[in-house]
Amino acid sequence: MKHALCLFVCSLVYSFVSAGEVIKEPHSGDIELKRINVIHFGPDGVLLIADGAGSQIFALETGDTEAVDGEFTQIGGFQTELASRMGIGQDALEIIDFEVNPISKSLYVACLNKKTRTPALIRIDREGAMSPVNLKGVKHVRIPLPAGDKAPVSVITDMVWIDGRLIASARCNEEFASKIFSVDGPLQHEKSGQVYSAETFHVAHNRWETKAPMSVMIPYEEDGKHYIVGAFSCTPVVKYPIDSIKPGAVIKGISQIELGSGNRPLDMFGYSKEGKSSVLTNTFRFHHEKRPYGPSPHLAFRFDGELLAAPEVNEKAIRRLKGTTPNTEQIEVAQTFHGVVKMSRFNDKSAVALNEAGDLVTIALP
Amino acid sequence: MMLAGILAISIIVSEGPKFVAADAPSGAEFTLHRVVGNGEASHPVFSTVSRKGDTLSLVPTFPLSPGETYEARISVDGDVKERFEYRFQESSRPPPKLVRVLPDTGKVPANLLKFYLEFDQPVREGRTIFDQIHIVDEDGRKVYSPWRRQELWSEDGKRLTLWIHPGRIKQGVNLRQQLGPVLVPGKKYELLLDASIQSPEGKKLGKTVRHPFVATADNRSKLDILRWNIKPPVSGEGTLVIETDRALDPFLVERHLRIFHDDEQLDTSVKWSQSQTKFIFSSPQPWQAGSYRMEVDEYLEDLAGNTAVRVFDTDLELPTEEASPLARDFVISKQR
Repeated sequence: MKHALCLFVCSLVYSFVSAGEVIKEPHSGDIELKRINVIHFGPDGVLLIADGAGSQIFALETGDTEAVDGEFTQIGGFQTELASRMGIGQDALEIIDFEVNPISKSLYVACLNKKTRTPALIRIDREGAMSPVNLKGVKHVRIPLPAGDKAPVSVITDMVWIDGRLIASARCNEEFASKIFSVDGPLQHEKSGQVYSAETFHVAHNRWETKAPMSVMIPYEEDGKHYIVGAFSCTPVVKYPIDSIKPGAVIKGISQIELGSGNRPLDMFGYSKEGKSSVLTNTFRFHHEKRPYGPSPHLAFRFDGELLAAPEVNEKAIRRLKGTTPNTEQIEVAQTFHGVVKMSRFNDKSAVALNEAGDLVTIALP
Repeated sequence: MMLAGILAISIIVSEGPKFVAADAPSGAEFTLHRVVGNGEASHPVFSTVSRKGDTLSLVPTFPLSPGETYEARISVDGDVKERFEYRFQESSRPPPKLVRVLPDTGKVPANLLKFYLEFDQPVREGRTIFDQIHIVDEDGRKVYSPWRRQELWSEDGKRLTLWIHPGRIKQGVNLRQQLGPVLVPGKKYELLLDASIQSPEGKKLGKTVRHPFVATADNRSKLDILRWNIKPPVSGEGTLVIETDRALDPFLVERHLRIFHDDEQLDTSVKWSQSQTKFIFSSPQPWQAGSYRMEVDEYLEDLAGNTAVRVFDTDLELPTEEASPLARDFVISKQR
């Protein structure tokens, strides 16, 4: 399966790159965050922390690089316990994002104390022990977002590390603009990158658009060529060749799959199971009350990785539904993921997920 | 209960705060807990504990929160030997108030793209805000799921940018076809804010707030600055007035409309009328007689997201329309 291999290779590339190649001459000092929009692990335990309000991305050398075996310990009442550890009630805690460190298998959680308006980063090891991630006197680089951009970025919606560069999707507060921020590795302290606008064919809308911002992204490789695969509201899955992300170019996405209107993607990852590559994305269905796809507005879709290389694209892209009935077995609602608010790939067998009840659970991948 | 009458916990508020336990026996565990409603204490709060001689110090990792009660405990072999309760007082600030909604024009195009809500103090962030703000039609029915649920706050937390879902605005798009547009021309609406909207520390608005408006015909045409009326001042003091043919997003006017004199950008400030069609520019320096140029960026939008470059829901596959001009010259005459 060529494309299973492609996805697999992409996820493995991380492990063979040392942090020294991701970060050049790290700065030692404190990381000062205004907000956290999203976190993402790059190679070798480097944690990327996006802070759109502070117009910055940090790359932190966590040093959390000891590989361990075993399953993740589920935590019932996780959200309540984490709020307690933060010194607040559950209603004052917002879990913004989380991601499993692909090496140590610890879970890193970005959250916000809504009472003090302060962000926090918490590490939860495989046994369930919680500890704050130290941001004082740590090795890191700060990547400022370009200050001179006419329409400044205010929120970073997702990030990927791919082919030696950091790519982030972003949007503005006042302007309706979709932005892609790119900076070449190795990342250097106080060295910025470039911001680009992107155009996407929106299958559900059946038209080319410039302004719909990408919600989630993953890296993808096909025939030796690197892409980012992104998903948008309503819900096209689009791939962008990253060699098109260069000064002066119009970045045009290729829409490959349409998951259906009325959904907002929240997380996405690729995995390989029994020789077959798949992508799982969970979404918030804002259309749930009128057209539910299950018991909860939080649901997930699995699709075959090979669809990312399908020749039929844009207006001919494969759709999950034909009318109101499933169109193909290659795209399906992941029945065991109903009610999942956040999720991250633990390994090729399971994901760590936060459910609507606030429990941290592990769920076998479909 | 005291241990041998000497173990005592105190607090140094000015240092973070820092909790200090004097004469703590070796092996003593020093923890901090949030006291929940029933008087019970919960899991220990993330803290750093250090010992110097017989004194233990505890510093919470994250700022403690106003309105919460905390209990510092010294325990030995699992038995609590000493407790110290500390209430972090809430501020005396009154509940938040909504001070402005933009657009405040009374009438808006039915393809309105966004609202700005400004409060007199920061408002509690979080995704629940999208369930606390509604659009209600003239029959009192809430419009179904109108918002694009992406939180966009100003840095000070006082202003929320609230986008109507673009899929409900764009013509021929399936979300609009399935659910209909959010606003229908000719109908009256209210933006309705729930009384439960609160400040970060939990003080609620306390009453429902309503902002009435009427939806007029969709506006699906590009900005055309040639249709604007530029009223220059005479040289010296005074203001430059630009009257537009439609309401604009005033925050984007601040950022994306610039005035140049002799190719130098002027450091102007701008005020606007309630109709958002009249923009009054002041300059800290007296206006000099001579040639001036007004420039707009491709990001300047009207209330429906139309720019001088394209209509909001343009299909890029269609032949490219010619962009409207982005600059226009004018003259300031010498004062007689």
